[in-house]
Amino acid sequence: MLLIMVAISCGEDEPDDNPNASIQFNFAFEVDGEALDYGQAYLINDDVVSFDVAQYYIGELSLTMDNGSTLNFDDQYLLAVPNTSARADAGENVGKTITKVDFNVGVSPEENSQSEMDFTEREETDVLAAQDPSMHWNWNTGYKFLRVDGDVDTDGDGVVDTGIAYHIGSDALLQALSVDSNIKIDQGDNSITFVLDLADFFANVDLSSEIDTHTGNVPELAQRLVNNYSTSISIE
Amino acid sequence: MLFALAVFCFQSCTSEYVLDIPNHFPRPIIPDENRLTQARVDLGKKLFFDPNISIDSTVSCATCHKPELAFSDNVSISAGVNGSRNKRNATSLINTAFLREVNKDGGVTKLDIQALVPIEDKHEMNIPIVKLVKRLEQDEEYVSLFEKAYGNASFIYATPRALASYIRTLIQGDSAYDRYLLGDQNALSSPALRGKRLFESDSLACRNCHSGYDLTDYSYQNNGLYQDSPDFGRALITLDSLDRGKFRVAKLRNVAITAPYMYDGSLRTLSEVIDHYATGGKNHPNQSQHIKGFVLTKSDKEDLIRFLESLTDSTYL
Ligand code: HEC
Ligand code: HEC
Repeated sequence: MLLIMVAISCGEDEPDDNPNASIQFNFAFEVDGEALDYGQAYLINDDVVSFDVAQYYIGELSLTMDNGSTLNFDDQYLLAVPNTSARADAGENVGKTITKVDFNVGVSPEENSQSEMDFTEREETDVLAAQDPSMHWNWNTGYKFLRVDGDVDTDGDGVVDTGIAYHIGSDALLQALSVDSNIKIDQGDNSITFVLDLADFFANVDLSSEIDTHTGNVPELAQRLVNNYSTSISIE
Repeated sequence: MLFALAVFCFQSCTSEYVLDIPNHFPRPIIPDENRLTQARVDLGKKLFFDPNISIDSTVSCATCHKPELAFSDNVSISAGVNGSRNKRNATSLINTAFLREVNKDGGVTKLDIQALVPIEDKHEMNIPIVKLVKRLEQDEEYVSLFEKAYGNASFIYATPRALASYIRTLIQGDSAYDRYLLGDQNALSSPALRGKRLFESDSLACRNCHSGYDLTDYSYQNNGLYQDSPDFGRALITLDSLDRGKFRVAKLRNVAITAPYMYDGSLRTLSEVIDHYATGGKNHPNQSQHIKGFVLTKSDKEDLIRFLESLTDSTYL
């Protein structure tokens, strides 16, 4: 019953170790369709904002092929960070088309509980190990599933002046997404890009007044942002 | 010569550190993977008093957890690096070894990684653990101490565990009240004994929450400090609005020397604390039914304070 072991390796510009067929997972961050640059000022809902951290965990990733078979990446997590990528072997699937991409935004309860293994016990190369900027919560058990940090202009002079931080986590807010796709797997390199558009993500948020959620302190805002995943995360 | 050193270390470093646990106490919670050894406790103690583990090398754990104050602080909110202040009063670290959930809201489920909170918090030491361990790895003395204590384990793994090991040794159970419990009828003065009776009375109901060897049942309760608690407390962890304004019932051991009181240090004296309970609280929607107010004479109040003072343990003073 054990299917193909699929290993994901992470890093920037890794050498292609499978000349047959591989999938590279890319992580794109945008604001209104324009590539995100840390530190640059954007206008979202009439508020001037800039960002300096935007990242999230992808878990329980599963790719469904046009013949109904699936390629599962159980127990493996991707950390979506601007300008990074991860690569997996797709050898057996050449010629098929990926019609659906299923994944969680966040970390499953088992790993999130920190009971079997916590983030200080993991190998440095494990995306669930301690990161900088951090993706673990220290005051609360578990991970930040998604975090976006930056600054916003609150006094209307067009210059950012106040920190913003949206840190979403806790088991109750683990969110499964299922996104249709049409990606043919050819010999050689193939790529799947997860795109998070921050303008869509904050569509119904008043950034200059709703300046943070560390989830438990403003759970309603965290839930609203989770509800926005489906309209702000797409697959290309 | 090297060989001799290694053998020496093998014997002393792996030697178990035996805790002196009072008979009327439970067993401390110590995971197998972080058994107490002399080397771990020594490393933890060095880290605890070392300001170099904060971003600008100005703040150590002992800045806010002062040994002479039962490892607590005498200000409402202690200042971390750059004078920055968070929102809670520094807790006494005595008898932390017995906690299943750490911090006033129980957010940290193992003491072995609790130290990452102060290390990384921007109001405390403000240094990402990933950066701190790079700093420690440059220090030859630490490299050798880590090796003795945790072998090849990563510094990220070992740093909070060494601090937890040291904290686990901070055990006290020899106050006048303990001696009374263990059969010394003369350990408590008559006023303290009268205060004890008041504390345990149905009308004051203190014992409904403050029971056991450290005078806490470890539950999370709203004791009516505010009508609308600015700090959500337990609800930050559970996301349940019924937990808003609930905090772990505070230990009362050493309470006479750990002023100011409550999660934000807003009550300055034991007298103010008693006045708070006497008024019956501010009626937060989640306030416990046991906070219902009472009337005390001036001398009753003094007796109750004498009892609370009998909980001071001078082992570390
Ligand atoms: C700037 C002040 C400050 C510094 C520095 C500091 N602490 Fe604390 N400590 C606190 C406060 C405030 C709390 C209460 C936090 C809470 O309950 O949410 C606390 C709580 C704790 C607790 C939990 C106790 C309990 O009963 O739940 C432990 C353990 C602890 N600190 C250990 C440490 C260690 C180890 C260090 C150094 C690495 C340290 N602290 C540095 C202020 C500080
Ligand atoms: C419903 C449960 C409950 C009852 C009843 C109760 N307390 Fe408390 N007590 C608490 C909680 C919870 C805290 C911690 C509150 C916080 O951190 O803000 C606390 C804190 C305290 C503190 C401050 C300790 C510190 O270090 O900050 C003192 C002193 C105290 N209580 C004394 C009493 C006395 C005396 C009585 C009886 C008159 C009493 N309590 C009744 C729940 C209770």
